[in-house]
Amino acid sequence: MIPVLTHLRKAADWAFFVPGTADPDEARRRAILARISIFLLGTCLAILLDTVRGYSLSQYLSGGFIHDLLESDGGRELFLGGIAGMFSLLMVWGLNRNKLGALGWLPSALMLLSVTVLVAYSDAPLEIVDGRSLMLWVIPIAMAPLILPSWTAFLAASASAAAITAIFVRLGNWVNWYSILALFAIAFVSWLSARALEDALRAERNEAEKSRVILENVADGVLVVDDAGLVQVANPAARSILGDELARAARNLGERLEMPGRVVEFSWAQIKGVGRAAVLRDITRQVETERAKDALLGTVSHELRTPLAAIGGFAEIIGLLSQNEKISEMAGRIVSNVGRLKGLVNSLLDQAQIQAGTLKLTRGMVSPAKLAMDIRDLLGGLAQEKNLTFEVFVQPHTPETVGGDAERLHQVLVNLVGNAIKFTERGTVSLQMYPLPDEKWGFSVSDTGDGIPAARLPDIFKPFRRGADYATRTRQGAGLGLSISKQLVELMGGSILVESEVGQGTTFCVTLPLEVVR
Amino acid sequence: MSAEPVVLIIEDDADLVRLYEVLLSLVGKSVKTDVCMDGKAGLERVQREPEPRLILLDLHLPHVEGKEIFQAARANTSSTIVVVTADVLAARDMLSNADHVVTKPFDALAFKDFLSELLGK
Repeated sequence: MIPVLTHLRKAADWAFFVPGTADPDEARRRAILARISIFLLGTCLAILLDTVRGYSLSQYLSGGFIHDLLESDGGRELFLGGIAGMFSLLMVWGLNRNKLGALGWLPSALMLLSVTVLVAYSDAPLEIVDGRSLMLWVIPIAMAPLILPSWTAFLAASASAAAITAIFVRLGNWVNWYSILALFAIAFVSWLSARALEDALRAERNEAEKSRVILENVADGVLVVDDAGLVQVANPAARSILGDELARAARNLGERLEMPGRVVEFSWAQIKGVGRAAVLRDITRQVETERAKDALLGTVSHELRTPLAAIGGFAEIIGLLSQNEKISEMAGRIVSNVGRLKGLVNSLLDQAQIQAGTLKLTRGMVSPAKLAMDIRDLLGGLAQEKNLTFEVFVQPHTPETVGGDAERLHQVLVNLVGNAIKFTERGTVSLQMYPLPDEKWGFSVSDTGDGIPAARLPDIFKPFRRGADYATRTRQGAGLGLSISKQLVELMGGSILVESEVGQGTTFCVTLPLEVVR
Repeated sequence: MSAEPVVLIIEDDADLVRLYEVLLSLVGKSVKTDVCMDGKAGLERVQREPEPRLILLDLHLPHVEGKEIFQAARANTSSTIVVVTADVLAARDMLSNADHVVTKPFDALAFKDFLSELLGK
């Protein structure tokens, strides 16, 4: 069944063929003409067959067939008319298959002429100008704007009116004004509908042209690949980005394609009935920058740490061995500055890892109470030096163990409590651990420091910002601590909130999922 | 009476080698130090007698990576291996294998105490 359909389709493609033309409207008209001529050829064939139907096989065999047919009443006209119609239709159809250049209108005009002549001779003269067949004139008038520019509806109406008048005058009458008026009314309606269609098509074409121009000139590559993996659309940007790798790119389904000296990023989308479409971008520079950043990270990590170890180590030894108090004190200063640099290097590394998404949390059991005690032991001395009260309070029903990364939780706590102590001159810094509903727990760090103005609150978690620079005091640090803390808490599936009032103090509340290790 | 314990230092930074030597001298125990300043020498040394009591091993070294030396040392010796590295990511990977992992920069006096503890065993 399918091969038959395929052959039929091939035959239709052959029969309806028209050459491409510069004017898309002409191409459309000539495609319609090809269909009309094939349709009318079929009609002529049917009329011929119908004409010969009445003549029996015996007459045919006796050899009188054509003679009888031509002698019969009406048969002669139909037979000869059918032959002439087929001939002219074949001519129109054949002509229409050629590239005609400026004469592209010729087959359509011939068709219109043939149809008009056919109509004029299709019935008795009186019937065709003033009777049952008057309506046949509608055919050439309605056909004209389909196969020729829309204004030709009026031309066809004029030709029809002239033919009617000529016949009418020959029959001894004068002009049939009502019929002529009606023909022009029909021409007007045909013209209007053809114009409406042409306007709509032109608007559509302009839109398509606009899209095409945009596609041609947009900086990003656009690639459309059908389901068979064949490239359907590749704009100039896509061609220049992909070069010889176009076919390989069409088979690529990933988000990245590495080519010699080039990295291309794809964002694919499925388009129903079309296939896959991708917007692609040359990200070679970006990837190089990323790699350079990683290399820098490695340098920071390795090349800074090793000399820091040497500087700090020797300074400690000098401090240990020196009998001179001044030298010991200065060695101590070197050691503490090495500590600051170490903290900075660690923060930069954390920040870079978080941004790159490569920071991994370890999973283990953490005791909130023990964390709190560790913080008290670690930072209690610092609070004492500043004569601050440091309260650590673990509320009843705080879970004994929770799931999490102990080292990173410790880091967050050291940062929050360390900040609180650093930015508080008098009063209290307190750390509270508490249970929360919905499988959560949390802790808060509050101080009685200067507080942070409301306008600055949204910025304090951004990297390299410090909420404290409004203060006149100089403070240490790169401003990465809060940013890293927030990102670590979020990596853990928790959230961090800050409340502050200038002159009253600041409270950070961290909420974390329980994930109690069973 | 056994010979004095050998501490093998595999480290390409001369200043750190010197720091280790000073720290070892401060430990107050009689030890012999062997120094390898590149990976190749370190790899050869761990396959040779006398077996070190303690190996201080850097990870990023010229010619041969510390990880390879670590595996060779594990296969050929029963030495205590202390990985001392500036690469915190690599250090994290080594945590499950090495006896001890120390990241640079470290607290020198605490490190001295740590060495003293290891050598006292």
